[in-house]
Amino acid sequence: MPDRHTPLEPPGEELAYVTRPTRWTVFLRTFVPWQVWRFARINVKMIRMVRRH
Amino acid sequence: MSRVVVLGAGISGHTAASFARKWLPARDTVTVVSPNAEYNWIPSNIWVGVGLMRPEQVAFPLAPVYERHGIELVQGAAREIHPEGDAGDPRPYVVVEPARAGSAGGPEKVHYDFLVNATGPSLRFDLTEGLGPGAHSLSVCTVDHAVQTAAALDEAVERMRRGEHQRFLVGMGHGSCTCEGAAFEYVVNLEFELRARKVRDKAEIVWITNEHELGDFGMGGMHLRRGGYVVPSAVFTASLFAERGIRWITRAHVDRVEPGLVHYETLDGAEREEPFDFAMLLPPFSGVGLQAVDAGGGAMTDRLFLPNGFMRVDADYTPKPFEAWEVADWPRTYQSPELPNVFAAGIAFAPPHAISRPHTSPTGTPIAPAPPRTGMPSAEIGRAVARSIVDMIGGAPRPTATASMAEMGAACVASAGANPLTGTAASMTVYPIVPDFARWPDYGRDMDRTFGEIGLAGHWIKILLHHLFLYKARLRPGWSLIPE
Repeated sequence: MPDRHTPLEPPGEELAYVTRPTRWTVFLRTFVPWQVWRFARINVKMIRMVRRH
Repeated sequence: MSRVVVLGAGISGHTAASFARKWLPARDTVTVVSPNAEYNWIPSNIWVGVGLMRPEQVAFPLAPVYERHGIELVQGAAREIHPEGDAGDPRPYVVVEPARAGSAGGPEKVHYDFLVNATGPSLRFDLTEGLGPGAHSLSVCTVDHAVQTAAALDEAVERMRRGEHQRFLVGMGHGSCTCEGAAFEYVVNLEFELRARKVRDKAEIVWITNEHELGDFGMGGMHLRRGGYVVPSAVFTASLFAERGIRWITRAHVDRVEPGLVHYETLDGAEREEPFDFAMLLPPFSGVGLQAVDAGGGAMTDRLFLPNGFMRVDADYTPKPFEAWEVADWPRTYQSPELPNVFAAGIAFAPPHAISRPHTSPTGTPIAPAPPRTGMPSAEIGRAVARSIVDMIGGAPRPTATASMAEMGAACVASAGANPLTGTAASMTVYPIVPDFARWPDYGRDMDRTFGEIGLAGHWIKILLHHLFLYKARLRPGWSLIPE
């Protein structure tokens, strides 16, 4: 008889061992002024990587 | 006068044909053979599959674009390669069947001087019983599949609005799948969309994958500098899922799908089941089944292709243990070792080995991702192949351009919610795609050029790339200046 649902992760208490973002990190993810800066920075990083190869 | 024939009009084939046409003089011809009348920017199928984009926003007819740029389009599917021609005519050719059954005329011979096999994958739903849109699960591999998936999502949302709970299962439909990144992008977009439609509390979302660890993506995962540590991508992916209430099953080989129930085997050999109301499961890939025939009519498919249907190129296919694999095994020019005028680009070339460590269950089932070679690497390879062919037509004795995945980086933006102010995406770059532990012994990758972060900026970049790459694919003014 196959097990059902048993291997689903994280099974309850193991959630405690998963890294979670802080409230500040979550806030910054959609804070427009910060994201405008990150938009420029990520674009530069990607262009440099593309140009390099 | 030389004739370049490109089989396939996906990302790699379209790129190869466009650059070959741009670089070759008018006396040479470029022909694309494709069973599809439209170009599909496949990465945006994810948004079609959650109902945020219409099919016409991710696809456009190829014929007018090719007509404008002097590229011949043959609407049909290549079935056979005859590299030695036949008894009466030594010119090499491919046999093309008309795209639609019942079309006027039978199979057509398309002669070539240089051939690019960019046929992409065959979607092997048949390898898992009950898998696929024709059976009991959904997909976003094509525009039609994505439209069907969006309709199924609408129905599920309606049921939730009536108070029913729904169980969503998203991931990989076989132990040997690749393209985990696409399914990952779908599951986080799905979660965002269910929140946007205010039914998230009625939904349970489960991710099922053949990856050994979350965040492997078929390239052995990646490491990122964060907070004074070098952190594996598994940590970020688990965090992203936990934050969104998505549960996960790793190391799984789905072997059967019934209506509302998935059967799967895990790496420890256990057979398990998972019920669902909505399942979006990607299929494994193989080559499209091109046959090769010699001048006498004998089969020579084994010389040109591996048993999985992908084409042999300038890679080292010698079987060896995982620890013995080297970056030098990976192809650089994508030229067939048998036929100097034949190349394979994109998914059509046979990778020499997996990037993620192979694993097999006690029952002998391989459960590990195949190497990804979609998107950016596909386009880079298409461009390099076009450059080599153009130079060889000009007199170069051998291919002149290289695009080894062991020397190439990739930028990937995985949407995690499409909204211009509240959406996010995971922006990642990895260099090189195939880890090089001889150069970077700790992590196999250049940590200065490998990074990842989640935020709204990534969503803006994703939108920008969607429009930029469709502009490029339409071959509008300045298209060749946009990077692959």
